[in-house]
Amino acid sequence: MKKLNYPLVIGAIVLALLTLISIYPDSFAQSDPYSKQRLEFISDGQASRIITPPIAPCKEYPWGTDHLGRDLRSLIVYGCNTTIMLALSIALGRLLISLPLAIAAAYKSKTARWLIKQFNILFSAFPLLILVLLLSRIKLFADISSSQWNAMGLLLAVLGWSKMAYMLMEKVKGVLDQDFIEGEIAIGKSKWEIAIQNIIPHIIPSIIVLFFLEVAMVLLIMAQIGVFSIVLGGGYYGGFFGELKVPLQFDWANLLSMANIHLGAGKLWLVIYPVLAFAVSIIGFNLFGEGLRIEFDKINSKIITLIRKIPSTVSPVRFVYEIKNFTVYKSSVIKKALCCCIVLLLVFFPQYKNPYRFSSATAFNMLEELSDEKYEGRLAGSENSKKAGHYIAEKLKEYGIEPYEGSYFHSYNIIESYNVKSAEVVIKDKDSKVIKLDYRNDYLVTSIMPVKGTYDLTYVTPKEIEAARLATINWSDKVLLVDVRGKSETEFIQIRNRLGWTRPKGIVFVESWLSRDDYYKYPRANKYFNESFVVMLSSNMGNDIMKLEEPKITINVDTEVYNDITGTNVIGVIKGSETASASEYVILGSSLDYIGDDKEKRYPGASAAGGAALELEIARVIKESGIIPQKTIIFAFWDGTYSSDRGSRSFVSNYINTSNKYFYMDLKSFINKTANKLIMDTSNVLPKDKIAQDAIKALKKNAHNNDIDLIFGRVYSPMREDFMTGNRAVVVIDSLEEGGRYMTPYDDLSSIDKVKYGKVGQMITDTIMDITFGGIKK
Amino acid sequence: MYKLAKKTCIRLVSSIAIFIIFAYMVVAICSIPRDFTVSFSKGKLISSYSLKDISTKTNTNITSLVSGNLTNTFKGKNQWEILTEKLGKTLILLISGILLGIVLGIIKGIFDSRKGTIKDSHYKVLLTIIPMSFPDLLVIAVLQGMAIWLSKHNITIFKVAGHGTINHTLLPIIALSILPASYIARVTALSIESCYNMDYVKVAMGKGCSKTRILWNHVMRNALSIISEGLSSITSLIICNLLIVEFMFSYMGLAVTLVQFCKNNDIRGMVVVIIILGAIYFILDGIFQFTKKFVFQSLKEENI
Repeated sequence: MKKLNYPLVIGAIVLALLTLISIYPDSFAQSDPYSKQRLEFISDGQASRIITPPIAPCKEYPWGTDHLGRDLRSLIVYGCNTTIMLALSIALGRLLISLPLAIAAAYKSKTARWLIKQFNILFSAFPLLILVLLLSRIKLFADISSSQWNAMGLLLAVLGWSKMAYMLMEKVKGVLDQDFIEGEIAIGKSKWEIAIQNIIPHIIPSIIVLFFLEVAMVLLIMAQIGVFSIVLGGGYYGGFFGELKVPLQFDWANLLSMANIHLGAGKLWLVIYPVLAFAVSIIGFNLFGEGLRIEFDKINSKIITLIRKIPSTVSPVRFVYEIKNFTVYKSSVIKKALCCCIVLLLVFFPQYKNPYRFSSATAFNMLEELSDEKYEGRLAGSENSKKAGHYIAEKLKEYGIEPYEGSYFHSYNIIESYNVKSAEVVIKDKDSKVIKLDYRNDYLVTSIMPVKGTYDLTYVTPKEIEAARLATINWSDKVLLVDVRGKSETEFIQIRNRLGWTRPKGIVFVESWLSRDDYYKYPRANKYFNESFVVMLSSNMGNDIMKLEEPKITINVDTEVYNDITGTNVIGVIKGSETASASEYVILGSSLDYIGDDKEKRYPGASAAGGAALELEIARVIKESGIIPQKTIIFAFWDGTYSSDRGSRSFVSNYINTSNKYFYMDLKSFINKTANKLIMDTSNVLPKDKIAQDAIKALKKNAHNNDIDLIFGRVYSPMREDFMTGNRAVVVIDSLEEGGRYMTPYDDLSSIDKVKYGKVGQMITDTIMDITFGGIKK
Repeated sequence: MYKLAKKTCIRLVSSIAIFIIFAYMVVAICSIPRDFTVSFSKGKLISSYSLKDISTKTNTNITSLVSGNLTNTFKGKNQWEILTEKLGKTLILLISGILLGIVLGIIKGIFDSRKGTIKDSHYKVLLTIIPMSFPDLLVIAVLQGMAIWLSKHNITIFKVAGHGTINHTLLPIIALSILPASYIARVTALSIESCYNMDYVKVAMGKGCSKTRILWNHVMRNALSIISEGLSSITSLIICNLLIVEFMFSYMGLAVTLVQFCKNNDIRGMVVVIIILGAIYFILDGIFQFTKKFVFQSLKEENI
């Protein structure tokens, strides 16, 4: 009975497992790697406890969590691809450098031999670890590429090839000493022909063995580099004022960056599991390499014969020849043709498509309606946003979506809603030099009081402000010009607080941003100064104004303000069927309101309306399928999302039951032509929340099926803040825009990409059906 | 004898020359400013610092080092005093770790080798490869975990981290010896197996010598020469290991000092520590080469 090559078999199993984990991480990880376990108070009737990350291994998190609350097993699974690919790239780089040098050195090239010898000696005396530690300080390597992975990989490849070159040189010498080489020289072959046609085919087995052993060496050094906190990924979280620095990326080396601190603090799991991952991979590559070496050393090795046959087997020229001589090569042609068919079938096999199609044309019509000028920008609490709400309610009724709790309309109180519709600012100096500023391009008005008048503009420094505060000077007749460029947030808050004591008529802050040309509308108000108007000025205009002598500012601000008004959410529901899932809800939310038009400029808000139109169309598709979902689906259109009094907050306080489970998907803006990626923010989902994790996996799967590039990113969503406690999971989806048309007059219908819009809509429809129907049914 | 002396002198001089080049290279790399970068502007490559500036700085640093200028104090102590203190601690760790590694490695290698039997054991290949594949960090984590567990059971012979007593050095020495032991075991097993294929061993077997006698009198004598060659190749691995071991055990040797100098951007300190570590490599390599050449000469070489 033939003896099994255990190293090869075990190595192959380990490598196959690593490959599967790299390609299909979703199948091996229990949760998304960005999901975080937050501080949680758990009460089970008799005992109560607070759990806070990092959590030691337990039933919910078998491998524990890190300091951010991310499930460690998921981090290691998702980090597998990056780590192994990087190690393979570095090993390949070393091979590409060392092979030609080894051949040249075997041919007695003095330069090549000298290089190999000196690199060997120098980088044995100068350990690679220390060299990388030193070189990583230098800015050049950070600038070489956008990713530090590439810079580190380049260093490791370029500096660590010498040992491999030496071993290859010995192998090549062994081949050159063979008798047949003399024959090749005698027939007139050049050195390079001999190298390519004779030497390389003979050393392929050695190259393969050395390659796998080299990958193991690279993984070993990556683990060492990780320990010294040399960042292979992108950045850290925290690390200020005594906080622990936690690496954002989760390639395995990064997970080891705080190893000595974790071991010292007794958090062994944070070190053991990443190191075990390294150990298993290194063992796998080493065993596979050694197993191949054992196999290749056999006299009648079938693997070597197989490797040597590969070039002729896959050669298309050979295939054509065999087809021409079909009678002789019948079985070979049939086998190859079958293989081709299988490959083509796998590549081009049509994916199963959801029969319930999202119609981008229908959604686009609704988007067109919502961004129409008759709604005048849909300001929160205004009659216009109510009109938009009525339109949405009619659509829900038309599609047969039931009203939530007996009504589509759910009112609540908005304390204040405002819109700075127009502003004019002109600066004039004593020599009558005039600077007219362009509203929203050169400056922003962040106070909400109407203002009209001409005032002296006085430049003050932070020291003068402090002196005035201490002297209790009142500047109520002055408009102050304050340069806050280069100030940290703490310093700005200090200046702001001190200014508050002096009660100026108005404040003009010179900020670091440069003048724009897209009329970007900044929706947040500066509520700190109740008695002063506040203008934020661009840096270049600030420079011009600060050169003026005795400037005067003429300002005219027209603001639309509504106090104590009613905001109205529009909410519909498709009730779920099964009692088992009666306490589980899926909520889709989007903005009904927007930022309102200016006096002379329209803000159609097509991207933001895109979320609401998307949601309406999804509701139609789900209802028209006729299938009763297993979980209740709520379609919510929030008012007040651009104000402090959000409709989502009112909904949570009135309707959310803490004994039920909720999965909330917040749909923000879709989908501008400049947006080529979709961002998904899963950082507020608990790793142990199975419903939410299944939804995230479904989102990723459907993004792939609909050809959408879905990435993780942090997205600001105030609605998320309202939902984000207890047994509620929140995922925010937004478009990654380049060029920034959002919140500008250019965010209109012409900027929406209909094709991408349809794909995103289908992706979310498929996902909702996956998680509420238990899969897409015919 | 004259030829041997001449050869040894040439080797010594070339090693010293390489050491000098290595030292210059270290100073040059450490002298590169942190914000050095190269950018492409108007079709030209522009660097933030010229090569001339960097070489001038390198030469200045070399001059000050050669003159023994290490007066910058670090927490009130002269840096030269710090370095000599740390060097002693590192050498204790290094020498003990290497010796323990050699002993353990040879014993394991003898166990792993086939010792002339026909039976080919992949099981023993696994036993050799797997320990070699463990990252040193895993060994350290396991040892520290074990020390914590023992201390909970009132066995305090092993200290988890720190320095100052012999107990603090035990775990670092064990951790440092594991990887070299694995490599030496592998080299030992392979060299023993190659020796068993030699004719003189077959003659000894044919004459009825016992296995133990063959192993110690014939095989090991020649295998040790091959083993000592293998020691040279793992010297740089041992020094990398040393950095990790000292850092993780907070053992205040040269490695921890190097990390502190890096964090404080103390160029002179970094250069001196790296040169010392390089010197340790060259000295160790020289000792291993000497051992191979003169101590473990094969019988054949001895008699020629």
